[in-house]
Amino acid sequence: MKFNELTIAAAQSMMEAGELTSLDLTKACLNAIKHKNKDLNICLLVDEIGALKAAKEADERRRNGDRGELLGIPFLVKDNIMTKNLKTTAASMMLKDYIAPYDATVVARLKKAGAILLGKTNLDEFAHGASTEYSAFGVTKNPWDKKKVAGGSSGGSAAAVASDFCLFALGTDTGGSVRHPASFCGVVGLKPSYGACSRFGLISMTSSTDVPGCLTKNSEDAYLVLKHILGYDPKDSTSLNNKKQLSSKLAKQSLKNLKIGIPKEISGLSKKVDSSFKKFKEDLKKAGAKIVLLDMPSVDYALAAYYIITPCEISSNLARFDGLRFGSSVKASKLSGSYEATREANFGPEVKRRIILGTYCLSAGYYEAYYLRAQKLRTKVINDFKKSFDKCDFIITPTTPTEAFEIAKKKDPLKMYLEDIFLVPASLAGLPALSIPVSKKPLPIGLQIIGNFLDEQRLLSVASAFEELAVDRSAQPNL
Amino acid sequence: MSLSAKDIRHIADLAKLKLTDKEVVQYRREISGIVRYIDSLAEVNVTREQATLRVSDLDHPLREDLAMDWAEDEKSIAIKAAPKNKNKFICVPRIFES
Repeated sequence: MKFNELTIAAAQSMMEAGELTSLDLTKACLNAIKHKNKDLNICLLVDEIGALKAAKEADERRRNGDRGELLGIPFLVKDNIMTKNLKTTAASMMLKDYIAPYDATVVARLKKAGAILLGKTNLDEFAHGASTEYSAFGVTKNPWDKKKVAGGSSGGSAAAVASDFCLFALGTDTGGSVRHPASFCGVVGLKPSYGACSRFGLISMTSSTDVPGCLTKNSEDAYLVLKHILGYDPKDSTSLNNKKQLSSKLAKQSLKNLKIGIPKEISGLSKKVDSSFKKFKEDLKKAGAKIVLLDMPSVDYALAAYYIITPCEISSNLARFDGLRFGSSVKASKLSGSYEATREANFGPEVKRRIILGTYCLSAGYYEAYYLRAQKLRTKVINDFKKSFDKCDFIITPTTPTEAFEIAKKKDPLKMYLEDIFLVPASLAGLPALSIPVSKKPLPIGLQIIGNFLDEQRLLSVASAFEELAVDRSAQPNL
Repeated sequence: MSLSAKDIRHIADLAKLKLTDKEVVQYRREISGIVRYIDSLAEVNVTREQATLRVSDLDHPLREDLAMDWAEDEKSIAIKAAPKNKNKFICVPRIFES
């Protein structure tokens, strides 16, 4: 086994035993990137010099007696998260040369814990998409089948973990952008509760549902990363002063008599996803869990509500790209002409689509019919979850209706939106949710587990127990 | 509901997006399709629901209106990110045209 294929926990115990240094581990990751990135288009930037320097410093810290779960562990960051002194492009021509002046709080916390920043990963432009095809810098290929998409919008981060470019990666999840590519790439993708982790330094998309999340090789690693990115940040007024801290160890949850809810509204699954989901349900029963069928009518309209709220917030958040203070700029004789020319030349088609849709929904006469109504539907979604959690401990769904689809095949934007059908309800309600692979071959299939608000501790415990029921767990993409 | 080319141009103008004729045709078709989809929400009864603008029960967090220190190196990168800058300032065009 190569060092870069290790989990965080395994690498940490090898470093502890003196069998591995952070420098060797970092070099193994950089080497994998060097050999495979051209083919897969996962990393938009690799900071080799910075990574090697940080690895040497981490080894020095260890020699001086310092310890930590992430000390010396290499990671990659989605390119819509600010990284000081490095380009942060959001995969847009608008920010193609933009250098971040500071680190996002989540990045700063990881660096402080001694984790090694390797570089930045590809995404759909400004995280608008579910396939990473909308990147201005080319599509990321799925490591399991290069003709297929990696999912999105954190497609680069998910593919990076699946390809062992790093031990973990950061992503962002607004309506499924961590969970979706995790499912397509056969890795674990965790979206924490809204407010659990700081949004400071994330390039804003939908401020009311954006959260940073992580992509890892298993749930235990997700737990280790979460422990370090969690917590109140005075720089994010929506971050929570959560007293419910994670305990030092992840205990495996017993499945006996655990009540698992399944919304009866789930439909439209591909044959393979359907049979895999059914099999998993049977395996859960055999392990002693109780399946509870849930009535969640809001599942049927949550997606439509999401695709009102999101474009509205995008049209407002992306107004800041005016070519004056940062980013690309096109000159014109008049100021308004300069705004228009800058935005016309530097926003891609999906970004423009969402800005137009959002501006329409917020424009005079439509606010109540769309935005306000969508926010009321959001209340219905939240209430459905509240009622459901009276009857069960966790809710499961397939992460996506199908396995990874072919590159350039999904042309209709509405069909792309439907990719998020099982993912947006948890986002609208701010609940923690994650995707774990339940089978990997020939293409990975993910299972989504949704927990109660701020109950990440139990969510990851149960995910860890579920992982043992998955088939071909140790399968790796053939790269 | 279907949007006209005039609607699309008007919205694009509000959003400061200049669209080509080809884009107007494309976005009119695509956005009309999406609007028809989200219009399905009109069937759901929400008369008894309050709007949820955010999920966590936060009070409006306010802080003192004070200037905070910002590291010099970060300040300098931020200023340099502006397409036009001079010394410690970002240069922007006039807003009012004579």
